[in-house]
Amino acid sequence: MTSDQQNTELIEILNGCQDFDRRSQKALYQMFYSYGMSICMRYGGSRDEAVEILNEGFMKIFTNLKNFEFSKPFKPWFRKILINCAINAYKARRRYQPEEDLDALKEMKTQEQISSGIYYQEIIELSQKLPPSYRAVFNLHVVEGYTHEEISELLGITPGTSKSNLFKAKQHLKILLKDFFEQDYVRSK
Amino acid sequence: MSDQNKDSLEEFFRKSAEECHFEFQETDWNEMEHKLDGLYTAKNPAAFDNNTGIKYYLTGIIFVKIILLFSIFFFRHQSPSGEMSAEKVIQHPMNHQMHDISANRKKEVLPREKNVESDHPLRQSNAGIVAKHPGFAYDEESLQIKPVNTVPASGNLAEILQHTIENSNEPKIALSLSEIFDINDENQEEILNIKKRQAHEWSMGLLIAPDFSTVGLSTFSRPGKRIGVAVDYHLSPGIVLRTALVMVNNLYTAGENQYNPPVDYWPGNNRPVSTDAECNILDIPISIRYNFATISKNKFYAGAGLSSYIMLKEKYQFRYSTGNYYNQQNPDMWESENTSSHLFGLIGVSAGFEREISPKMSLQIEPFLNAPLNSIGWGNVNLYSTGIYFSLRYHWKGQ
Repeated sequence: MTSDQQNTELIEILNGCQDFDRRSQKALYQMFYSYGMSICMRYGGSRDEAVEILNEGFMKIFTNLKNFEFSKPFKPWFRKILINCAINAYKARRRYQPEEDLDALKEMKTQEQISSGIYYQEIIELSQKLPPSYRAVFNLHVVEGYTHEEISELLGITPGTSKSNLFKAKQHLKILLKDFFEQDYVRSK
Repeated sequence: MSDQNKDSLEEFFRKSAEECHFEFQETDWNEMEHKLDGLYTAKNPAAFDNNTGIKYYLTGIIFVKIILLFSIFFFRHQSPSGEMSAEKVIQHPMNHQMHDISANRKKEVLPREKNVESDHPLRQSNAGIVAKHPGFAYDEESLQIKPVNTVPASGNLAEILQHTIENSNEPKIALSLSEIFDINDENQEEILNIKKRQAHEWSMGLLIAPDFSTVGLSTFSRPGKRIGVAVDYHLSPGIVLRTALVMVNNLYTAGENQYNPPVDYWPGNNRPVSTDAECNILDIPISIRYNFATISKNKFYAGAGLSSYIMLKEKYQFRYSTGNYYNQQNPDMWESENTSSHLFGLIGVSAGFEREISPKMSLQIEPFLNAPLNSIGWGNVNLYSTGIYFSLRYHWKGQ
């Protein structure tokens, strides 16, 4: 299928979604499911949380599509909405959870066995083991490219906390990665 | 962390974020549908803007009125009212729970996993090395992570990550998706042109319906039938233009003053007390239909339009009161073919329910009512017809 045909199909689907046509909504969901999940899995602490964020994002898309300008690319708009939903979910979760530390990380490590072979999805699963506040900062800074000042506004924290969380996130990931390879080695033996 | 470590770690996760592929999960869509169903059952009014709200409100009123009209029409004349009751809204059965998350995870592992046993270079060339990570392995003697072949021997995490990135054979599915769907400013004009010439949906269907006809809303005789084909052109996902060719076998009984043939047809103006009519009519309706609610695979709609009747055959049996001498001279029946046509002689309203049974097929159930704008047929009767269309439809896209 050519790029033109893909664009035509996307615009047709978006038109259908504007009229709340269920078939079009499903088509859009299927079309951007993988892309959306690759974003949400990094912010959610589990697959369930990721799907929750994804569906919240799609809900915003379906109900606010009238505000979308067809002359602009859809994908960045979709991505921005998903990240906003992820930040909202993080803020909601933060109300009920105390600050995490390395002890929490140690507990988390035992919760789930990592399957053998490291694939992209497993790397994302590794990042899901980070405490939410570290994970959010890590993703926003490293993957999305936000500055610490921007992150401080988005998450309602100080730039210093953002930097500190990023540093800790990387330390944790380093431990998680080493641990992952060691565990895998032991299992292989 | 050294700069090299830092860059590698960030690059490692950035790349994984970009290239991870997730297989579509129907259960996730079911969750989404459940949220959407909640939205469309108007429990969340914030989801609609003012115009949409007004449109839904108005069509709702029209729908209720049509249903009310049908109910009154049938209860009043003791017709088989059970068939004409309003369609019950059936909520799509939802599975609200995510099943077997571990199974889902398994499905989401990239296709490469299938070949990891056979195609991984480490398995073929390093019998003593058992780690399964692309590009590096553990040495049993030293118990250290060591790169294989061309990678410098080191347990340094940065080098491991760098090597993993460089030697990764992961399919770049996410990258190709972004290439496909990225729409930049340069082709804005092209997009607008594409939008103008986008394909519209058509559908075609077979119709069948019982036909209950009456004159002057007094009595119903036994039901006739309607069989035809209909073609729909979807002006937008919500608005449909429809036309059809329907063969109608129309049966009705007219009272003494309801049947009005040409003046002086009956000698002495002795009119029959009743007339039994059997007419074959070609009904050609043109109507507009509006989908006012979509719940899962179900659509609810209302429509209105005009019908043209071409009278193919008319046959009337007259019954006179007994004991009247003059009646013996009057004709018992009148019959003719291709007698008349009535262009846009009737107005039709309908409300219906459509259920998608496959991506290209759907079923429709549509109660209808046709009311005359002019008198119909040789007997100049006010002919009302109602019934329920059952239709199987095929959908396709066209320019």
